[in-house]
Amino acid sequence: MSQRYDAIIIGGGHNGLICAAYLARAGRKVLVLERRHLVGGAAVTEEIFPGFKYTVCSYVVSLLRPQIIADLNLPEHGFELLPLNGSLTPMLNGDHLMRWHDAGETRLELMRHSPADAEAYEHFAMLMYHLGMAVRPMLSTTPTDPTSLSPAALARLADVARQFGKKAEYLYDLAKLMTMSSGDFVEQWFETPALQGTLSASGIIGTFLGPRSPGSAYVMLHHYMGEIDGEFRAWGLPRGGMGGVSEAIASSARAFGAEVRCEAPVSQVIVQGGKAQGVALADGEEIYADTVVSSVDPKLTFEHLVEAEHLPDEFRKHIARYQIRGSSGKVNLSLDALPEFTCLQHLSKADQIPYLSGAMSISPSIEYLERAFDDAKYGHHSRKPYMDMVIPSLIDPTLAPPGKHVVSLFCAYAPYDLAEGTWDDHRESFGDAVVDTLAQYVPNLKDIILHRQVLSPWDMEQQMGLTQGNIFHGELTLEQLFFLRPAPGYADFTTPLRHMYMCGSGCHPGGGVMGAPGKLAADRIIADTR
Amino acid sequence: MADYDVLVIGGGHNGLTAAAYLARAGKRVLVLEARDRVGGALAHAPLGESEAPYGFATVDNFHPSVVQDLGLQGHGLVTREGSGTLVLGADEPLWLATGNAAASLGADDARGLSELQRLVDVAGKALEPLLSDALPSVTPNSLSDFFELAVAGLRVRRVGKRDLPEVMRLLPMTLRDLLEEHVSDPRLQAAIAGPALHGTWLGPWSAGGGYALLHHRPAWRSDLLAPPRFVEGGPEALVGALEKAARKAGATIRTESAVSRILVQHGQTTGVRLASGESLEAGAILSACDPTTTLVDLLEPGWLSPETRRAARTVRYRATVATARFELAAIPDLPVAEAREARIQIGASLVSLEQAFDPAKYGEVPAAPTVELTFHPSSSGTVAHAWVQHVAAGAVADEQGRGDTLAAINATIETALPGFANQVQAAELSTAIDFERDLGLRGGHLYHGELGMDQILYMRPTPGMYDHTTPIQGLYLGGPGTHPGGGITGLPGKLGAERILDT
Repeated sequence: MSQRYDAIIIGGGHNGLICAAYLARAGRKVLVLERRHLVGGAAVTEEIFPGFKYTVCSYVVSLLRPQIIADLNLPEHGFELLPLNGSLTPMLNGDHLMRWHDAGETRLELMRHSPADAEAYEHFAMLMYHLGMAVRPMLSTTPTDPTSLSPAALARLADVARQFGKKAEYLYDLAKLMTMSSGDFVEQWFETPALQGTLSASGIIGTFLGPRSPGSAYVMLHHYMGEIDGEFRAWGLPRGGMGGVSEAIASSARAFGAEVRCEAPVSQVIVQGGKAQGVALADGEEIYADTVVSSVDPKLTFEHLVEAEHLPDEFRKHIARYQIRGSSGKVNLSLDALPEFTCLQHLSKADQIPYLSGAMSISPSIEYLERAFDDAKYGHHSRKPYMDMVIPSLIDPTLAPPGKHVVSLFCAYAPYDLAEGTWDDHRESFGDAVVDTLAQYVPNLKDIILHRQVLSPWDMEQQMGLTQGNIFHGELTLEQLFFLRPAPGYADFTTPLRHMYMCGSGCHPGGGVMGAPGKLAADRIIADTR
Repeated sequence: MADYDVLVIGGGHNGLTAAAYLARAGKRVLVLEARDRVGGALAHAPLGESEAPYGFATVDNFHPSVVQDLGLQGHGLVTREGSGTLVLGADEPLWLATGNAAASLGADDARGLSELQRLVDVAGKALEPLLSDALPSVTPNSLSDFFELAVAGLRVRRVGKRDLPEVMRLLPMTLRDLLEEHVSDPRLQAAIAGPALHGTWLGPWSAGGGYALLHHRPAWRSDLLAPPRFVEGGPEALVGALEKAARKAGATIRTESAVSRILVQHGQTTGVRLASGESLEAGAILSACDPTTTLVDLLEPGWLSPETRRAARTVRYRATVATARFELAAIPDLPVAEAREARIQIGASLVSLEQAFDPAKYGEVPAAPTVELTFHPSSSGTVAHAWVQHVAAGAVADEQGRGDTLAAINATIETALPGFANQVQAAELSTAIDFERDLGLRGGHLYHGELGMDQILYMRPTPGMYDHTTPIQGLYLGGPGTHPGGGITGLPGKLGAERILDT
């Protein structure tokens, strides 16, 4: 008979670990069960080829809530965020667009392309800042259910209305942002295609939408949020790659007394009389706890780990229709030398480094992105994919042998469901499309590739357990956000089962290495089980 | 003393509706129409030997209150319900008879359709007061404003705990997700999605399709498979009835009187100047033109704040609707005889609708356009009116592009209805470029601005003008670019007129 816990967390991704750390911090006896041999879920660093450490899946941090970093003492546990240096958009004509952290330098660079854009950029940044500030409180609170008639919910609703009343001048802008496409939104402001493309691209990350699809502007804001916490909190890479942040959270959780077991795949949630009692592992071991918390996505949780008979029909229907579409892939490269971008050839090698130490975006125009999306709509990977590229080894040299580099390429679109064949048939052709496209901007690319790892959404499902390989545990579309995420009536981290909760990215406020779902769920559990 | 109480700019159906309402209330009204005939996008245009519907061919959602208030039936308006929807383009045609679509469907789809219909009815009922009436103020200034807002809120909440989340999630959904949740026959999905895309710059896989569906299936005509509604004598006959109603009530209508400037003094309108140089005075002006034309082109720059001007300038008018009109010797054989009175949709799956939208996004000529066809009697026999939702006008601006596109449309119809081409005596393609030139529509947009989630309700046409007022005292908006939006409903004109009468 194994020992009994206050809470079991299914899944050792960043949200599971954050939830565990908060619960342990509140004095609960907590066990985290991770299927793989390492914690982190999608935020892991793995040495796929000897000497080359890949940030296999997730590749940047910007959204991690500052409060979480402070509450969990993450810096003491080795968490250090190395800032990325801005964003480079190379163009096929040999020119480029660089946005630096320094507003003045960015302005100078934009002037080169369009004085009107340089002018508008500052107003745009200001608007996004204010909109971000308006939305930010929502990320740190459980969404209010506007359909509830309970006095508490009505009071909260009135409070939300009052909050927005104070920011009335931004109310319409916010309403527009929530309902527009990212492409239409940035087109209102800017005329340079590369700037339009790069800005609107953040509206499509992790979602099966094109930049012309309404709703993508909100996703853009979702990503912008990281930039509003000030320069220090800008996009960055943890020391040691993305695994660095997961290790730090796990270490913090352990320090608070939580137990973290790897290679312990959960096969079922044990339910009796409508109450979650514990979990059964794949090897048959049963572990009991007062509370069971799932950090894996809603589909995996309720279509595989909980038997259907324990769930109301209505809820099962809601989970069945929850959209969780894999739309992106990941290509990781080992390089023998630094890539030589055509657009930087006028600079010395040393002068190129600052340009390469940020994100590089293959997003020359909105049309380019939309065409990439069109391929995916009909079940093909993009022939010319959108790519968000970082060279982690430039930021943290320990990730590759001296003089050599690792490159992380987030690539869209790669649909989980293919028109024909399986991802085994198409994986390498997708990798080729990525490398061929990038080589148009980096002529020496093919000569310096030592290894290549291609992860399709199918691979992400197999390796990380992400249903359909969706990195955000469900589309970030309006009908799946706030009080509707993941299902009406269950946006408060509860489930139809007593003593069972959710704490993953499938909950409010959604995906990204943000940690908010893990923390909010822990708050709720602590309040419920006082 | 001013010449008139109210000048109405634009003699389309909304301008005429507004004029009739105003005149009935005792106002001295003058309608100023730039063209030589009133009716705007409902007016007929020459085709071969006769005249035929040009922009809109049917008046599906015309609001019953306007018919009743203005006594349009007494002025000769006779409408006729179509017989159903015929979907072609798949191996088997799908015939959906008006009121009895379930008869053609499998049991699962019949059930799914009725569940979706129930949801649309619930949503429509909740939204109805917002659409067929002025929007309650969101910045209540008086007790009665606050009361109105509260009533609207309660009405929405009356939907109930179970359905309210369903209704709210419906609005931003893609038509694809929404329809696939309920029905499985691709032809049925296409039959519902096709008309829902009118006036949008969306495909069935674009978010916001749920709202578009509700816009086209409002409470007063919520049948998801509502047939076309024909006017005896063609859509121009509705214009005729409105014109009679307006004149009878005392309004004056002047054609060939293009307005070139709205005159303003001290932030208050004083009248208009015509292109001819003539000036007319009036205490109030109702513009049935699109908001950008009204606020940016017709107003002297400087009267609006830079933000308001920018908002008015950035209203989106990406028009993709084209119409192809065919003069026929006879209607070709149809797979279902009753379909002569139906909407015939050629494009039998969501994929085909989406693929028809793709080239429009890039300004390219469509290879396989989807077509909605209706037949109309004309003096020379029969006219087939083809509504083609997504054609990028720019791509077909030259003779070559026009010819290719007309041929593609012709081929699409001929494939679905063999024998059609043999009957064609004259054919003409009209795109946004033609609508802009002939009808004065900005960007050639038949709906005076895209119907999208960010350009509806409180955001149509721009924040602060949802109540048909403008920052200029005495200047009101009453065209489809204002709440509740485009299509042939008569509501923007009615609500604009009511706003003037309220003040």
